[in-house]
Amino acid sequence: MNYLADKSYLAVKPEATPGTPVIPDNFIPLISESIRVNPNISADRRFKGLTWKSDDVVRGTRLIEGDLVIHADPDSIGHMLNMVYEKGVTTGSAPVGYTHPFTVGEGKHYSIEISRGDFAQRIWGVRGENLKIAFQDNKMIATLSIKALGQFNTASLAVALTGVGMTSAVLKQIYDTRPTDGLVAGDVIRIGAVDITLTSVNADGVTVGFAATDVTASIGDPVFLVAQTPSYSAIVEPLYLGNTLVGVAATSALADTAAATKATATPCYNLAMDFKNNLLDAIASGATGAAALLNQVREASAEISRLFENPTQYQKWIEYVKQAITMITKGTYIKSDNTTWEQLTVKLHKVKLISNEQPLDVGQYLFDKQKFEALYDSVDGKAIEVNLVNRTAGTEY
Amino acid sequence: MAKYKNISSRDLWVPGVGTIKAGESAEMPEGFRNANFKEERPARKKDPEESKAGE
Repeated sequence: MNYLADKSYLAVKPEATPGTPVIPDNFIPLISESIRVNPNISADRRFKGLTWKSDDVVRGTRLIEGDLVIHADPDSIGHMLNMVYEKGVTTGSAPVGYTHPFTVGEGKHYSIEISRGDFAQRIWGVRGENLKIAFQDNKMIATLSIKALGQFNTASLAVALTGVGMTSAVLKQIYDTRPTDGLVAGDVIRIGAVDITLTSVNADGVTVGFAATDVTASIGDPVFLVAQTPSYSAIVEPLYLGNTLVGVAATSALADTAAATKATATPCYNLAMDFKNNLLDAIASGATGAAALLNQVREASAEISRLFENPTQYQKWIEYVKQAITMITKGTYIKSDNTTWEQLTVKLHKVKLISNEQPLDVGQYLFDKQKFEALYDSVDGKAIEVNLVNRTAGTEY
Repeated sequence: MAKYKNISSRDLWVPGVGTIKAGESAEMPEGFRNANFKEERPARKKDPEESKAGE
């Protein structure tokens, strides 16, 4: 059987206890992904009396990482932000919209699931390493680089199943000493052609339990996690550059004012922001891969391309003058009287130019092509703040 | 086909099925599996012998 990628899904859910997997039930329309499990398998290079390189392979430190790429719509971007930054207290309600404030801090651990055909890969202990937002053909694209503590996709049987009345399965410990990590009661696994709903995942890390089932399988037969059927609360429009206003000014307060109206905002031909947590894969005894994913120093940067008018920005670059950037992107109206709407607001309280170029190309207008480093603003007591207004209740995050 | 109830707080659109409002149920195709839905099993008919025993 062959499978079309378009039928795959990305499902996400915050973990109530960090590092304890849950069945994800928020389905996000995915554009592409590159999440990979890398067990660092290499040729076994021990002296074995051979004149050939090796007769087997061995594994190294396991890493689970990669990118998720989505159209940044007001609801989906909330989960991406929640993995990267710390959500404060959500205010509002369904009729007027929910406002979620995000600040630099501990983002939530997530369980995510990606399907490939009939099969799912459950990735748990997921944290946001790096969130990039950029615009392509007017649409906001969010690229979230993640790292994870573990995953379950497939394993194999350690003990044969012999027909009527089977109530448990024991998995082999080749990939991991705890091969059932990632599975949750309620999951459906496939052994042979039989789909089995799990009623328990035992603490021993190798055994799963289920109601009496007629299933026959041999040692080594594969065990798969069966994919869900996706469901979407709404397929909302992405955020657009056309609905984005950018204020660039001497302070964050002035940048807010500048971003408030089209007349005072800075027209940007392109805009991108990059937020990094620089997660450390904390390798430790007792874990084949990272035992924890720890935030290191955070950083952020922004890139703006705008029509060159005068050398003001050049002067700000060479004299490293403080500026601030506020980006406000509006979505659709939420309240019935059109007084509240979806909105993503990102404030970089203190930025300085790292580079500012005005390349000359024949027949082309001159642009300021700018790269800003986002700095900690001692006056405002912060580097960055993000506010999101959408239709998703705070309990979902 | 089996009937599943949307146990989430949101109206949900299922590809190939349609929109199922929060708290409502719908017939789902074979193999349907989704953490936002719970299968509704028809109430078991009472065994006549069980009824007698209770009398």
